[in-house]
Amino acid sequence: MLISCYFFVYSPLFQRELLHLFLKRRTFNYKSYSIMKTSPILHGIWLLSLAFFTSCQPQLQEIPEQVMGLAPVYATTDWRVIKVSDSRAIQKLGKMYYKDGYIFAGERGQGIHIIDNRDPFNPRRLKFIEIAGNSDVAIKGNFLYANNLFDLVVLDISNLDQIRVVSRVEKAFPNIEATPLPDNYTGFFECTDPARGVVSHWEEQLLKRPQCWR
Amino acid sequence: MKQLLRFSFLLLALALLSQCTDLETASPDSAGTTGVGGSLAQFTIVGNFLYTVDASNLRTFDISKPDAPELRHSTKISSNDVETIFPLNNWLFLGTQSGMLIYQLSANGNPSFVSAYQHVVSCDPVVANKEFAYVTLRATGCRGAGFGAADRLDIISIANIRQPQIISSYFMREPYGLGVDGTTLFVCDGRYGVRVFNVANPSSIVEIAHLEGFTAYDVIPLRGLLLVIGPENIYQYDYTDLQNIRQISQIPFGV
Repeated sequence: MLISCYFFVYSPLFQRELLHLFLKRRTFNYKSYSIMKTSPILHGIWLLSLAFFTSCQPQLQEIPEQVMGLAPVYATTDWRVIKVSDSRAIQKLGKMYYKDGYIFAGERGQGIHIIDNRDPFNPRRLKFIEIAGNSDVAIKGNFLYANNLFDLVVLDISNLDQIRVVSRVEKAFPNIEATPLPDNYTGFFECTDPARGVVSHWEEQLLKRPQCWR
Repeated sequence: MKQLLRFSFLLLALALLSQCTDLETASPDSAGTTGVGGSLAQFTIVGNFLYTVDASNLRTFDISKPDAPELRHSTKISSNDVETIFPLNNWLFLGTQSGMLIYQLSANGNPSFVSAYQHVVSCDPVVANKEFAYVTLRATGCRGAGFGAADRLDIISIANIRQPQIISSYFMREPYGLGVDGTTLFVCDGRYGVRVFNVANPSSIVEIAHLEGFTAYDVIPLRGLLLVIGPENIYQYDYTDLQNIRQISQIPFGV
């Protein structure tokens, strides 16, 4: 019993797992699986778990006056402007991509560090490409593909001193409305306000009576 | 709950069949080579196409003209839990929280669903190599990990791509990203560093080295040079001599 309580508090997706077993996977064509057999048992578990979920949730969190958590940083109106600046310290590394002796290291939600790694004993940071809301990158030939929030941008990197944007697909990823919380973050965060624009990244801050958590 | 567990394990053994697709290869890469990403990537390039995943979509962009990329195709993935994408030959391997999905690329670049390997909900990238796919499943610190989820490495035979089959499974401590180079498999074990395995015999892999003393989230093996991502550093190792893997440099964060 305690275990089911635990799972519902810490794992809202557990519900989804059950739902999957129950609804979605029924549409799959599993050869030797009959939903009819297991369904009543699952149904029982589901109802039982629901009962626990409702009894668990009120104790889930008490909202503190002040607590460290994550606050959204909204993209400025010029978030589509891509700038190349001098190298800077890596803070929160996201994805990494390697090509021909260079490392492209993503700064979560902010851009891409270019590191000259032709001599892996002495890697050197070269540049930082500022790309708001960036989370991923891939390169083919002289062209770098990255997301700029929900747009896809293509940069010509044939000359690292003259990186330039060659194209942009607006709203290529329409379901990215905001940069999500870091993957494994659990804790309080400031609720996002769509009226203030799109979230480009998150920063650790002292929050006052935060209304959101996960 | 026992029933649910048993049921989840049952799912492991099942695979999906889909309609046949043509086996032609995608058009040759004529405009330059692609780089290498980690196992947690959500973008990958195969031939003239950029494939991207978010939770519920697999998108295909035609990048034959970099100055005018075009969205060609978008596939909805009903489980809404896609985390990673990995290319091998004409296949894409998607790591989702509920399993591994395999898509085949047709000559026009469009992916079509081939098969799936299902498991209990957990965090799980996938990489593949010739006949095998390697999947890590992480319950520790995985938001949303399902009941019965464990920290482990699964080796799956993809000799028959339409029917992936589990060969063996090994317990890990908190596995994140992974990378494979020939018969050498690198598994990031979170706070427990990087574990290096000889996977020549997939039913009984052998740990040949354990790089410890730091936290590791993802790796990129580059034929003798291993890039490791941690929360505080990028580490580089020389693994040309597997009996003597040594760190050659690190790129610290914050400075």
